[in-house]
Order: sequence, then C-alpha cells, then structure tokens
Amino acid sequence: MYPYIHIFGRTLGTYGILMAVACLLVGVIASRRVKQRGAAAEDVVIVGATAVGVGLLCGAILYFLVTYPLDVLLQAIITWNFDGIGIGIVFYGALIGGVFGALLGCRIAKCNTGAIIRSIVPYIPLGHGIGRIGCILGGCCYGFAGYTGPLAIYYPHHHTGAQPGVGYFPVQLVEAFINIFITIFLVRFEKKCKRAWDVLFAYLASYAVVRFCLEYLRGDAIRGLFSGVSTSQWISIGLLAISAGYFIIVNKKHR
Amino acid sequence: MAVGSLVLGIIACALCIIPIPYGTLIGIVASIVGIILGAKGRKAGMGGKATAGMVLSIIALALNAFFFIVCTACVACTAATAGGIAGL
Repeated sequence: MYPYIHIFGRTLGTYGILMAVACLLVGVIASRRVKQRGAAAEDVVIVGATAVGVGLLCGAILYFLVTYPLDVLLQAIITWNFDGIGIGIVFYGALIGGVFGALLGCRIAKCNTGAIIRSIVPYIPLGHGIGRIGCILGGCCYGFAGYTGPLAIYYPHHHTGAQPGVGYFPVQLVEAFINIFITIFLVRFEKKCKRAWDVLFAYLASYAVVRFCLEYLRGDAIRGLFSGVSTSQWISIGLLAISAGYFIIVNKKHR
Repeated sequence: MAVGSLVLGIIACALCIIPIPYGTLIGIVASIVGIILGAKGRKAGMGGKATAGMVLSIIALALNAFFFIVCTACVACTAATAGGIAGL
C-alpha cells in the first residue's frame, strides 16, 4: 500500500521503519528486564546488534537461495554483476541467523546467556508482529486472493505482486495478532520455567506451528515449493522437530 | 573503544546521506561494530564518548535500515509475481 515514503529526496522503506521501531521497542523492554536478572543493559545492546547483523545476513542468504537458481547466483558473484537480482530477507533466515548472532553477542559481551534469553526471546514475536504491519504497508506477504470477508485488504497500486481491486485475506494481520498471543504465552511461561533455553525452544515450536498453518492462507507467489510444501513449512517442520527433541532430551536428563 | 565507536557512528551516519556504491551496506556493518564497541566501552566505564558512539551508531543503523530494507521476503516474491503477471 505505502511501501515508500520520501523525505529530503531520499526514499525510505516503510517496512524498514517499522522493523527499526520493532527492534528498538524489543531492545528497550529487554534492557529493562535484563537489569532485574542481574545483567547489564549494554549486554542487550551488544547481543541485539550482533543478532541483527547476522540475522540480516542469513535472512538475505536464504532469500537468495529460495528465489534464484544457484547457477545464477554463482554467475553473479563470479562476474560481480548483480543486475536483475533483487535484495530481500526471509524471516526464518533472519530468525535462525539472529539466534546464532545473539549467541556470538553473548560471547563478545561475556554476559549471562540465560538472562539474555529470558529477557529478549519472549518479546521477539511482539517485534515480529509489528514487522507484519510493515508487510501490509509494503504490500507483501499477502494472503490468498478473492477474499471479500471482514478486514479484506485491497491494494491500490500495482507496485507489488498483488492485483489492485482484488481482495486479499489479511494473513499479515492474523499473524501479527497471533504473535501478540505468543508473546503473552512466553512471558508467562518464562516466569515458570527452570531453564532459560526452554523459553527459546518454546518460542521456536509455537511459531513453527503457527507459520506452518498460516502458509496455507498465503497468496504471494514464489516462496519455493518442494513436494507440495513451501520452504517455510519445511523449515517449520525442522524447527518443531528440533524443539521437540530438545524437550524430550532435557526431560529425560532431569528425571 | 569509545573513540572507535564514535568514529564508526559518524561514518555510518554520513553513509546514510552520501550516496556511494554499497554505502548503505557498509553503513550497516559500521554501525553494528560501532554499537558493540560503544556498549563494551560503557560497560568498562568509559562514559560520555562511549554512550555518544553507541547512540550515534544505533541511529545510523536505524537510518541505514530504512533505506536498505524495503521489504522482507517480499522484494523477491513481489518482483517475481509482477514479472509473472507481466509475462501473461
């Protein structure tokens, strides 16, 4: 709908603005919570910076791998000519990369990893939800076409893949709403769980289930399909399996 | 660390304004390193310069993100879909 705004002759992506707002909000909340757990707010800043850096890189790499054939990518790298290759980020790539980036940040900051996990992870879905509002503004990640029910989204311009005048299912709004519930669940779960890593794997498992289901309501085109299952659904299956494995192993150890 | 953070923050902010090839990408990297150095400097008690460098780097990261991240998984799928529609 409004993917860009123009300020002082520069074009700003509205999605980027909302992602920055989301990151700052999560950072501020996490900085306050981490102090209650005996760690420094600066640790959240370091972990956040490394998570964003590695997350962006991995999100972009996954996007390239999903969108373009490998030979096209290799040719572009060898010739250093990226004409015809757009830049984008896949959330799952950014999330998985962000987790590894955060662990790197914990090592750089020499901080309490458990306190960082407990402070940041419950609010990641909140930030993600804000980002999904950015998807509505950007006109991307839209739902299936032909929906005329409540909250149907009609994109006015043809700058995205969505057709003007056609109603689309508001899957971005649904995901944003569900993410708020995931945040509430994780905040309550974090207070009760004994191990900090439980919070991370609980988030990964819950989002994987949600994402797997919501993929059936998506209408945006090329996201990669393998055996009738989208790339994100395969990643969701993988994350759910890893999370389930973690909880099984941990519960067996502590019996 | 504090001076390094401040310098990187200034460079990253400048790259938001000065249009050079890959400037936004370099700005993102510089601002992330600046944030890390500034935060570590604050933890080590380096005070004002470290705080200034950290804050400047955070602002630079946000600004560079505005210019760089037009959309997420979306630039590709929308471009591909638009290309597909154009081809019909």
